[in-house]
Amino acid sequence: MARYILTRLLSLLISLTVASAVIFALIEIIPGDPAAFMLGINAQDDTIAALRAELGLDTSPLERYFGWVSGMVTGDFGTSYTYRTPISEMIAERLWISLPLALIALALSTLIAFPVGILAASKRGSLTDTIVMGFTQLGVAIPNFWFAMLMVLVFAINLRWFSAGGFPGWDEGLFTGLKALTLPAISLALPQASILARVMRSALVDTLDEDFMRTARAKGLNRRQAIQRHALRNAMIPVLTIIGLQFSFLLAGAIIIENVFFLPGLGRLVFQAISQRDLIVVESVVMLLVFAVIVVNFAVDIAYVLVDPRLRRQG
Amino acid sequence: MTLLEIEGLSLSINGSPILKDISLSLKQGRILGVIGESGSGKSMTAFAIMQLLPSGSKATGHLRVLGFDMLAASEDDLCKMRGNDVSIVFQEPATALNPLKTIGDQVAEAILIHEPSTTRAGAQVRAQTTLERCELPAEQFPLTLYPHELSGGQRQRVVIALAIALRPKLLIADEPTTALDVTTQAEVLELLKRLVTEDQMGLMLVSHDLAVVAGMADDIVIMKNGEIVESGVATAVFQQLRHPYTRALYAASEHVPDRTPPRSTARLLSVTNLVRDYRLPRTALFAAPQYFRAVDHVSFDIFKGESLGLVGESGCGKSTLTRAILGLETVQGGEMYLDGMPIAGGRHVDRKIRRRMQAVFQDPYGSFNPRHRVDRLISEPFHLYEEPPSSDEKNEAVVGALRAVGLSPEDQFKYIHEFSGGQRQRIAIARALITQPELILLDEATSALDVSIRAQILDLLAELANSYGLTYLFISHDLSVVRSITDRVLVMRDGRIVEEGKTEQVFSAPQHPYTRSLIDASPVLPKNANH
Amino acid sequence: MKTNRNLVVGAALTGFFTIAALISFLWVPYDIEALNIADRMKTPSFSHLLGTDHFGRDILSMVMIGARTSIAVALVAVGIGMGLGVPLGLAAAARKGSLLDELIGRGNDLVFAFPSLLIAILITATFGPSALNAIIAIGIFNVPVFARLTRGSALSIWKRDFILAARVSGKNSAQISVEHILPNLSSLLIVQGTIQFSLAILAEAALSYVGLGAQPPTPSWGRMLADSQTMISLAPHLALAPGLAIVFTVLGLNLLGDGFRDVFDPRLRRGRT
Repeated sequence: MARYILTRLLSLLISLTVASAVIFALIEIIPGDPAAFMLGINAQDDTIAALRAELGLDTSPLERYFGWVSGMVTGDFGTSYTYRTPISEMIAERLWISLPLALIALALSTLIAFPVGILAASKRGSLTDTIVMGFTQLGVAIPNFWFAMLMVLVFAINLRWFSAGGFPGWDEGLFTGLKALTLPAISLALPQASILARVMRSALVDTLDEDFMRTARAKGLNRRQAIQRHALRNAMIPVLTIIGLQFSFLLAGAIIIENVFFLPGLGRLVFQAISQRDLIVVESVVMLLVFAVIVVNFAVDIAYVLVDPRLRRQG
Repeated sequence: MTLLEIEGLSLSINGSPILKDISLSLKQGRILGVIGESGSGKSMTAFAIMQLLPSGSKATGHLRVLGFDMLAASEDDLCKMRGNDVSIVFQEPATALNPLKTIGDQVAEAILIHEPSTTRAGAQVRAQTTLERCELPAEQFPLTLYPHELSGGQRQRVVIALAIALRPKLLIADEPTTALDVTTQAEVLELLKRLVTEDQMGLMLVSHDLAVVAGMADDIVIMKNGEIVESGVATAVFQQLRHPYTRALYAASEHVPDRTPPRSTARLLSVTNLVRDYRLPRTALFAAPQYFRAVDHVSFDIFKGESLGLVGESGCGKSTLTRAILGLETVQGGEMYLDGMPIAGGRHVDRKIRRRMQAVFQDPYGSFNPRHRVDRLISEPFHLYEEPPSSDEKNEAVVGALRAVGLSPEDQFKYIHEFSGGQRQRIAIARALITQPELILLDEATSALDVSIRAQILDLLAELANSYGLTYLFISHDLSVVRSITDRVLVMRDGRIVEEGKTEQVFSAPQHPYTRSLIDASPVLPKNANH
Repeated sequence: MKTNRNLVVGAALTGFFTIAALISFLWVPYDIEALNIADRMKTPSFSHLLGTDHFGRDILSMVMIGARTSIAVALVAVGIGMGLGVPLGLAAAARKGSLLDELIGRGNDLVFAFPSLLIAILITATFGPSALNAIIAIGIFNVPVFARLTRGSALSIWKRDFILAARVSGKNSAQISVEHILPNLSSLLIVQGTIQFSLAILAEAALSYVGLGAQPPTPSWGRMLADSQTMISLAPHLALAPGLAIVFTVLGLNLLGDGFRDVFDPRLRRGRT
């Protein structure tokens, strides 16, 4: 088992390294001169030269890369060109919105999806199953940002239960903050829950057809007991895979949802940076998001070992 | 006491009739053998007793277990009986156990379900005792083991343990040893016999293998197409063989095809000191790589026109040896010659040699690409010709091959799913004949076939050998089949040949202790005075 | 039968939008380049079946032309994903355990860490937003999807005896991959391809919504939604039409995929007890 964890850790480090190299290359090397790009076509030569010096662009790409990476490891993400503030501060501020949003959405979608998927699988072929699957079929087809817009229309504009957007800040209190995140979290969670519910159902249905389920019934377990004690744990393996994959989609979704609700999160930061041509900010935020996805996948790999004893032997 | 009473049981699944008017009974302390080929309904009868039928099933008639009407019972009552009064052991030990739970938990669960007042610790203790009864002693087999850490035979013992944990009166075993090696099979059957006596159970043993049932059963029932064609006391049934189907089954089981004995002394295939090692995945991070020796200095010759058998249990290396001879594996040592020309292994394909030997494999359902038509399937070996034959030549060859195996030329336009298991093996043989090879390797070619079909295929193989002067290497774990179709035999174990000699001699007077144990373990069909 | 229903409804919905997109090349009810301020913000009526937007443009015409963008982007992106992913998966399965397999596997893991949105951000940050960049971003993400799927299924086919027979006939891995493995994967690829197509349409809509996809004057459903956002209280119909178009196209494709799966699946799951 130790060997399994070590190889996964090694894999994590390699992925992070290669990902950072790719991001660096795409932003700073391939397009040409970053300084010229940032300042635009009308820039003067001496302005460009000054920016080049400021950004340290006259050193070799390899040196700049290592500088960037070692900076990030110590928490220094550089300085934003547009705002002249340390990027780490900007990220930290925004992270307090994007991260809770993503986590709440993940928790919500899992809490909804699991019981729904299990219900549909255990009543496979019945009317309940058909109805549930019908709803989820619709749910996966709805773009989350459109769903968000509709939610705003109904719950904020018409019913006035929530505000249509914006974030008052956590200083105003935990409850106010959470209230502002409610509609966004639900808009993210429901389409996601539809996908998860379908996966849960399919994984469980596959497990129900396995031979060991027949053995369980032959021992005297009734249908419910057989599902609870034998099928669920086995079905978790494919479901875990999907949760890992879905996390990256969830992050992307969160970024887009922030646009609907005018939330000052990482999404807003990176889109503004794109229009302002603030490449350093773009670099850092993308790296952070990729880091999050890679770490979550690593966690899923570790979870596999906890669930499936056949993997422990490999170590 | 009559444990099981079935009267006029008829079963249909989604409208198709599966069982017609089945009647049988089983008394305490007796073993009932249910014999039938695939599609006979024998397994469905077993499932019907446990009421573990697939959805869409409708059963009529009388089915009583310990006097209790199973067809009218509620699901709750059935759950109380399953595992407690009546239990079943299934065929596939590899998939019958939950891979994520320990064997201790799975056996203990059977106890806790029916006696919920037992403490967890108490159930664990009883689980250990039950496993010991099933020949899995605690020191080697602690309760914390997972199924994937056990061999097939050991897993089957765990399945038996959880079936008998609560000492049911009625035990059903559905092909319990079909997936096991012959020596393991003998042990498991002995175990079942012992448990029947110790617990005074009644055992219903379902199998396609007459010899297995003959060695175990007191009473016998023979099924065909969902009906019982003959029943009675075992010894009587085997002596009288009243029903024509019973006679046919018996004849097929002991069938020996007509073959002209080989006369040539010329060597066709010569194997010397062959070694095949496999790299094992690393167990520790910095350990040196370990190797597994699948073929360990094997040497033998095959003479022109003879049929050489290769017997061994699973894992002995016979399949690896077969692939090595066909040139599909890289070898780490030794040499092979076909008619004096060297056989190279691995990537390099020497077409001249390869087309002189062909192969037939075990699984009739996996041997063919479902997307290709039969003519394309049969003519695939033409790839070994430097110049592909013209379409006329190809057509002629395909038609000839189909005729030789007893099929019609029109069959070349069909797809493989339109054929039965036996017909598919004929097509496989046709594919093996297309390049007019001299040597054919048959790797468990009849193991997946029903006994009556098997007899026909063995006849076909003997006839082809006679007509075309073919040489066979017949690999199998089934000793009775090897005995009926080979002139000489090799016995393989752990990568080595432990015995070699004329078939009749090796079988009647085995020299090596392993050979002796194999032969002793093989179930024997009782001799019939009228045959 | 339930299976045929999926196929029929799915084909109908998908066909509807595809035909609308194709027709738009020849004819649309109104010219969307002409701004008609007098007619702005009209709710659906006989003359404008879906109403008009804040510039007076006919929404039905915009939805039809927008269909072109969504379908074209999704089609090419999935094409890239399949075109690169399937051969990679076949190669990895044919050389299982080798360095090539490891590299392809690592490559897959790496790309999976970058959702299409992030790839789009990286590309557009320096190359500017466009439909082409959206295609590249979505296409790149689809490659490991197909590579992994192909490798997994190919591995189980490699174990079958007919592959052994092909090797006995002297065929090498490449020949076997093309003649035997690939044809047996076709049903799986059709099903997955349809599903990836629907996901690509959702991805394109999201990218257009945040401004990283097709740029004006090319209409796209995502951007129509973005434009409608500020006026949603005044004119909700602006948000409904493109949103529903997305929903029904994606729904249609998913139903089509399910229908294909039911048709191709040889194992009629009869469900144990």
